[in-house]
Amino acid sequence: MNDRFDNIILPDNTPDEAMPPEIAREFERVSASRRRFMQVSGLAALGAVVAGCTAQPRHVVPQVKRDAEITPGASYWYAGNCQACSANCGVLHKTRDGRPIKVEGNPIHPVGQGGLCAKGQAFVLDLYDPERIKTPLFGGKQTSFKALDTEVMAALKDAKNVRLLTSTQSGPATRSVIDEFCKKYSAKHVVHDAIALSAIADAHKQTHGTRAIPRYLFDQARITVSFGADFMGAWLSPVEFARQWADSRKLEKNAPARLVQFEAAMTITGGVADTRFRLPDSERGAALIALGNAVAKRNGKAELFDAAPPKAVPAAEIEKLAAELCSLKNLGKSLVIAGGNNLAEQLVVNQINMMLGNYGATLDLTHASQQKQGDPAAVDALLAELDAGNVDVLVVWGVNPAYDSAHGANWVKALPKAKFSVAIADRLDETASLCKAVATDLHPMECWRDHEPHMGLVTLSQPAMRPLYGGRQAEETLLTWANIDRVVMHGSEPEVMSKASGRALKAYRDVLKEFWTTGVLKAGDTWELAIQRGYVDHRGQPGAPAGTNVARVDAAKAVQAAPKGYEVVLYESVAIGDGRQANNPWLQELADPLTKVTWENYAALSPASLSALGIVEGDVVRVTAKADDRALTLELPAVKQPGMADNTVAIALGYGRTKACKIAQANSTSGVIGANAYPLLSPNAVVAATIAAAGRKTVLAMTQTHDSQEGRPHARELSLAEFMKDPKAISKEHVPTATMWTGHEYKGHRWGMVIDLNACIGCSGCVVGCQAENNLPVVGKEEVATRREMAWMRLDRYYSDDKPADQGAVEDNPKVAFQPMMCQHCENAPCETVCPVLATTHSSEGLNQQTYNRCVGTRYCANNCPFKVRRFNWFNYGYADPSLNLVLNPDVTVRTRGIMEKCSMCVQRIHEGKLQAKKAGIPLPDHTIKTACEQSCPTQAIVFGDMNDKNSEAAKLAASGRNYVLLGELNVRPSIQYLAKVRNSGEV
Amino acid sequence: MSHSVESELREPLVTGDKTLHDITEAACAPMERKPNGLWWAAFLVALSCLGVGFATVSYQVATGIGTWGLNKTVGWAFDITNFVFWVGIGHAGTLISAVLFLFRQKWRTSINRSAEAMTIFAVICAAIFPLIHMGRPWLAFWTAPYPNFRGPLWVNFRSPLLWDVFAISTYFTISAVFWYIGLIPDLATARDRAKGIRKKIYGIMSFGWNGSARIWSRYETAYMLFAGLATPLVVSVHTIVSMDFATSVIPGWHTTIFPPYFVIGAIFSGFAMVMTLLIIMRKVVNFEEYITINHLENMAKVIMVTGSIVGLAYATEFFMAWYSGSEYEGFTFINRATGPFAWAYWIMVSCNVITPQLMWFKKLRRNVWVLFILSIFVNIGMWFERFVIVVTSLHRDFMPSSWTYYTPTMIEFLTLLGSFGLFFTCFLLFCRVLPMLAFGEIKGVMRTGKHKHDEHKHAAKAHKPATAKAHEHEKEVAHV
Repeated sequence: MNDRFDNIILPDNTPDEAMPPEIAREFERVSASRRRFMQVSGLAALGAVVAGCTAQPRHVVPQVKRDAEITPGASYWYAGNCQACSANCGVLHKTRDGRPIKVEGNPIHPVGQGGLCAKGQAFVLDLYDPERIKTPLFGGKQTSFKALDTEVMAALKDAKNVRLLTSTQSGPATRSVIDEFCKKYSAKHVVHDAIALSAIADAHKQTHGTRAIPRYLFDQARITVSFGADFMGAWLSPVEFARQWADSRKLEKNAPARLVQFEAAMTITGGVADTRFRLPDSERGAALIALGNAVAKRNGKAELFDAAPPKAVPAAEIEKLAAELCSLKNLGKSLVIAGGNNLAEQLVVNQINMMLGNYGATLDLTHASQQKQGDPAAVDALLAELDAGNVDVLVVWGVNPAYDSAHGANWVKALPKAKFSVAIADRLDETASLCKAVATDLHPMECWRDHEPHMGLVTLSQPAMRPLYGGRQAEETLLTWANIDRVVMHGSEPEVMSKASGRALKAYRDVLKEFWTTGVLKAGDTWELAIQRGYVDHRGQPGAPAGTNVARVDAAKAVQAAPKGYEVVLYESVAIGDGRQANNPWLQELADPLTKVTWENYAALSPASLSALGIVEGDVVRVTAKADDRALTLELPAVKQPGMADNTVAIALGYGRTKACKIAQANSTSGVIGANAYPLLSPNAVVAATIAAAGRKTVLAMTQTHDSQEGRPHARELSLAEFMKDPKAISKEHVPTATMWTGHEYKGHRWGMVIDLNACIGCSGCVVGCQAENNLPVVGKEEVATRREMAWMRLDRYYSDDKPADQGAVEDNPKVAFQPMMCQHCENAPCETVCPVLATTHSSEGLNQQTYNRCVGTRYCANNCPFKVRRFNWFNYGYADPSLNLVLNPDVTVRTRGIMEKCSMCVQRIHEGKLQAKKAGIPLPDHTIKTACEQSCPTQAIVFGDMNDKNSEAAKLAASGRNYVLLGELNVRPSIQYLAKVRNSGEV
Repeated sequence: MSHSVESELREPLVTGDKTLHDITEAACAPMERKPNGLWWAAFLVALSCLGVGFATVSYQVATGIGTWGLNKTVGWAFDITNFVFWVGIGHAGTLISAVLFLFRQKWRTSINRSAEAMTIFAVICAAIFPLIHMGRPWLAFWTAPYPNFRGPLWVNFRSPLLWDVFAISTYFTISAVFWYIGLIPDLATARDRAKGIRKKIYGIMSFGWNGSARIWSRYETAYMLFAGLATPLVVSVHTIVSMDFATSVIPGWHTTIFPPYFVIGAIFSGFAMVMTLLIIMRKVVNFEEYITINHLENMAKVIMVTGSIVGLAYATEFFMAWYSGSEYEGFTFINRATGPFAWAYWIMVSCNVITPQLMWFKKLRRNVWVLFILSIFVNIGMWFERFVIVVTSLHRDFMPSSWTYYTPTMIEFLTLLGSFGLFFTCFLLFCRVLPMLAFGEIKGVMRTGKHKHDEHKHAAKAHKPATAKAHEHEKEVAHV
C-alpha cells in the first residue's frame, strides 16, 4: 500500500538550488550597504518564490506526443466478452490510463443486456493475478517463445497422434484457427467443460436430429418448471436467463410469470421461485416422468412412460402443475428444463416441451446455444488414449482436467505419458504443471477474440490493455505452430498461406479482421461498428425442426434407485463456479448468497439431517463416497441449509485447488481452501455417501448468522392475490411521523434509489461490482470470521418463519428473501448527528457523505446506524501482492486503518455524470448515472435516480405503491426505497 | 467547619479519644515515614499492571483497533464500558466532598480526601478510553473546538461525544481544583512539620498559607463556592455520559430514564469503590479510629438506597420496553435477559440489585468483611451494567442479518487491567505524598469544643479533674 505514492515527488523549494544564476551572481557582487542588501534579498525572495512555483516534479517525463486516444485521467470503455465462464456475456472494459479497472455488462449486448454476475465482475482482478506466469516454460525452466516454438514444432512435425484439448470456444475465427491447426497436424480437437451439459445436446440429436443445446427464452414463458437447474445461478447462461426471468415478472405489465423449482439442494433460483419442492436427485427422473404422463393424459394421449411416481412430491401437486402447463393460455408459453447431465431425463424433458408446443416459442434450436460444447465422452476417450501411451503431442489450451474433472487423478498419471505435452496457459495450474512445455497465454482482456454464444450472434472482444507481462494469445500461438497466418470461415474452402519463417507474421488482430471482413460481416455491418458494439446479430425468429417422440425408449434409465445413505449433490457456487477463478480474493471472500459462508466449501445438510447426525453447524464431518471406481473421503465443515432435501449433502465444486492458488496459503492452515469434490462428479448416477462426525469443530467465516427476520417487516413479501387486491397496500401502511424540524431542502437533485425485491435473485453481482468500483479491501478469512467483512453492499438473506402449506417443519422448505442492503442515505441520518468531528455530513443532494480525512474513528456512527451498513477499517487492509493494486479505481480514495466507510452511492459516478451533462449543456437525463450495483444487476432490480425529477424511473417506482422504506417509524427517512416481492404461487 | 452543638447521644465521628495533635500525627505519618513492605508490594503490583497496560495500548495504537474483538455490529465494548465505569467511580468523590458538605454531613470529613483523590484518578482512567478507542487517536485533538487551520470545519456540537469532551474536562478541572483547595491547610501543616526539600515543595504547594483567621475565612468561602460549583457536576457529568446512549436510536440505548439512572448508578458504584479503598486503607495505615465503622455503615446505607434505585431503574426499563409496544425495544430487553449475553445480565442483576439488599440488616452493615465483599460485588456488577448496556444493545438491534456475538480479546482484558494499574499507582502515590485525611476538617468535627462542658458535667458527676489532654486540645484549636 505504501508503494502507491512512490512516483509522486514533491517539488523542491530550497532557494539555494532553485536560484537562477543571475541572482546568484548578484549575490556574489553584493555590497554591504543596507539598501543594496534589501534589494538583493527582495530579488532573491522573489526568485525563490518563482522557482518554487515553476519547479517541476523531477523524474516525471511528459509525453512528447500524446496518444491520440488517451487522455490521462479519463475513462475509456472497450467492448468485449466476459470469459469467466462459457456464457460469454457482453461486457465493457473500463480502462484508465491504459489499465482496465472495471468490467461492466454491455447494455446493448443481447447476452446479459448490461448485467453481469459476481464472477464476471471479478474477472478484472484475474488480469493482475500475481500467479500469472511471465515467460514460456520448457521443462520447468524459463525460455523464450522462439526456443519454445522450435521445440513444439519439432515435436509436432513427427507426431502422428496430435490431440488438442480446449475449453468451449464458440468464436468462428477461433474455431477456424483450431480447425486449421488440427488439419495441419491431423489433430483431433476435444472440448472439455468442467460441468458439461452434453446430455441436452445428445437428447436433441435423438428428438430433433440436431446435436445442439437450444437457446432458452425464459421471457416468453408464462410458467417455467425447472428440475434442479439453477439457471439463474450457474446453469448454462445465468445472467442472460436471470434478465429474461425478471422481464417476465414485471408487475407493471401483466401478471408475473411463474417459476416452479424442484431441487435437492437450495439454490438462488429455488430461493426466488414462486413454488419450490424438495426433490432428491434420485427422484428427478421419476418426477419428470410423472409430469410427462400427466401432461400426456391432459393432451389426450396415453401415458408415455412406465415408472413409479416420486415419493418426495405429492401426485396432486404434479397433477396441478400439469393442468397449469396445459391450460390453453399457456400453450407454447411454458418451459420445462432439468439440471444434471442425464440423457434419459433430458429426453423426457424434450418430450414434455414438445407436447406443450414450446419448441420455436420458448426453445430455439435454429439459433442454438453454443455456450457449452464439452463432450465428456470424448474427454474420457482422450484420457484412455493418453493412458495407453497413444498420444504423441497433447496441446492443452485453457482447461484444467487434472483438477476439474472426475478423473483428475487419472489425468495426473496419464498426461505425462504423452510423448510431448504443451499447455497454453497463463498460470501453472494442476494441468499445465504436468506439461513439458508451457506457452504463456494472455488474459482474455488482453486478447482479440470472437465468440458465438447463439448461432447467428457473433461477438467480438478487443483487448483492453497491452499484455501486462508480454506473452502471446493462444490463437496466435496455434497459428505459429501451424505455420499459418490466415484463416477463413469455418467450413468453407480453406485458403491457407504458410510462412517458412516459423512465426506468424501477422498479429492475430489482423487475422481476425480479415476473417471477419470476409466471412462474418454482412451487408450493413462494418468492422468498426462491430468492435464498438462488440457483436453482430444475425439471428432471426426462433424456430426448431419438428421433433419425434423417442423418449419412451430411454425412460427406464431416467428412474434411479434411491441410494443408501446420503445422496451427494455437487454444484457450482455463485462465487467460485467451477474453480478457475479460485485465486481471486474477491470471489473467495464473497459470501454464498444462501449460507453466507466465505473462503471455503462445506457439506450443506438439511436441519433434519444435522440433528439425525447429532451435529451442529461448524462441526467437521467426514463425507465418504464412491463414484464409479473413485472412492473419496472429504473433511468438510457441516453447514445447516434449510430447504434442502433430507439425506442429501450438497458440496460446492471449485475448491481444494492445490496449484496456482497463492491466496489459499494465507487463508488456511493447510494451504488449500476447501476440499476438491470433483472426483465425485458422476453425471449419470446418483452418488451415495456416508457421513460421520470427525469430532472437531471449525470456525466458519460467515457474514450473516441469523436466518430469521424475527417477524420484522424488513424484506417484505406479498402473495399475488394480496397484491391484486390492493397494489398500493404496502405504501399505505406507512404513516408519516410528526417532526419538529423543517428538514433538508434539496434545490437541485435529490438522489435516491429503488430496489425491487421482486427482481432480486441474490446473484451477488452487485456485491462484487461495488467492491471493484469502490476499492473495497479483502480482509481474509480470519477477519470475516470476526465479522469484519468490508462489503458496502451486503445481501441480506432471510428464511421465512411461516408454517409451510404442507404443515411440515418451517425449516424444511422455507421461503427465501434476498435484500440488498447498503447505506440508506437517511435524510435524518442518525450517524450524522453523533460524529464529534463532522466526518459524516449531509450533502445538498441528499447523500450521506463520509469524509475519510476527517474521520477519527470513534465508530459512534456505526453503532447508531440502525441498518448496520457502516464498515470500519480495523487494520490496514492492503493487498498482499502490490500487483493487485493496479485494479484500484483512481476516482475513489483508498482508506487506511482507523477510518469508517460505507456506501457513497457511487458519488464519483454522480459527479462524472453531472459534469458530462454540464459539458453538453443539457439537463441531466435519467439513467445517465448508474451506480455500480445498479449497473451490474442482471435483473435491473436496482434503479438509481433523481427523486426531484418526477419523471425519472426511480421517482416513478418510488410512487408505485409497492414501495416502502425500512424502519419508517424511526423517521430517519431513508433515500432508498424497497419494492415488496410478489410471489405468484399460482392461486390467481 | 463551624462548631455546632451536637447531641450527646450521637456517636463521635472519631473514636479512640484522640487529641488534635494525635490527628495531625496520624495523618502526616504516612507522608513522613518510609513506606512499609506492604506499600511497596502493592505499588509494584500496581506499577506492573500499569506497565502491561501501557505496552498493550501501545501495541493496539500501533497495530489498529482490530486487536480488539469488536466487529461490524458491535463497535464499542470494553472501551466504552471501561470509560463509563471509571467515570461512575469518579462520582462518589464529588458527591462526598461537595454535596455532603452542603448538606452538612460531617461524617464525610474522614473520607472525603481519599474519595476526591479517587475521583481524580478515576476520571484520568476514564479519559484514556475515549482517546484510545479512536481509530486514529493521534487526531484526538480534532474533537477540541479551537480556531484551527483545518479548513472551515469545526466540531459537531450536536454530537454527545463532544458533550462528553466538555463534561469530562469540566468535571476533571473542577474536581481537581476543589480537591486542591481542600488540601491547602493540610499541606501547610505538612510544610510546618517538614524539613529541607520537602519543606520547599510543600511550601510552594500550600501557597503561603499562614493559618490566619482571614485566610481561614476566605478559604471556607472558596470551599463553599466550589462545593456549589461542583454539585451540579455530580448530576451533569453522568447525565451527559448517559446521553451518548440516550440520544441514539438503538433500542436499549434510546431511553429517557438514562440520565437519572446513570447518575444513581454512578453514585452507587462510586460509593462501592470508596468503600473498597477505605476498608483497605483504614486497616493498612491504621485509620480505623478516623474511618470508623459508622462511616462504613453510612456508606453502606447509601449503597443500599442507590442499589435499590438502580434495581428500580432496571425494572422500569423492562416495563417501558413492554409498555412502549415497540417490538425492537421489547426484543432488546428480552434478549438481554435470555439472549446470548444473559450471563452478563444476571451477573449485573445479582451484584447490583440483590447483594445491596443485605444492607437492611444492621449486623451485616457493621461487618467489615461483609462490606468489603459487597463493595467488590457492586464494582463488578456496575462494570457489567455498562457492558450489558453497551454490548447487548448493539449486538442484536434492528437488522437480524447483522446480529453478531462479541468476544473480547486478551488485549482488551489487559487494557482494563492497565487502567486499574494506573488507578492504584496514582492512589498509592497519593497515600505517600499527600495527607490522606482532611485533618484540618476532621479537627473541626471533633468534640474538642465540648471538653469544657464535659468537664463541668463530669466534675459535677465524678469530680474528675480536667485532663491535660483537653487543655492541649484547646491550645491546638486556638493555634490552628
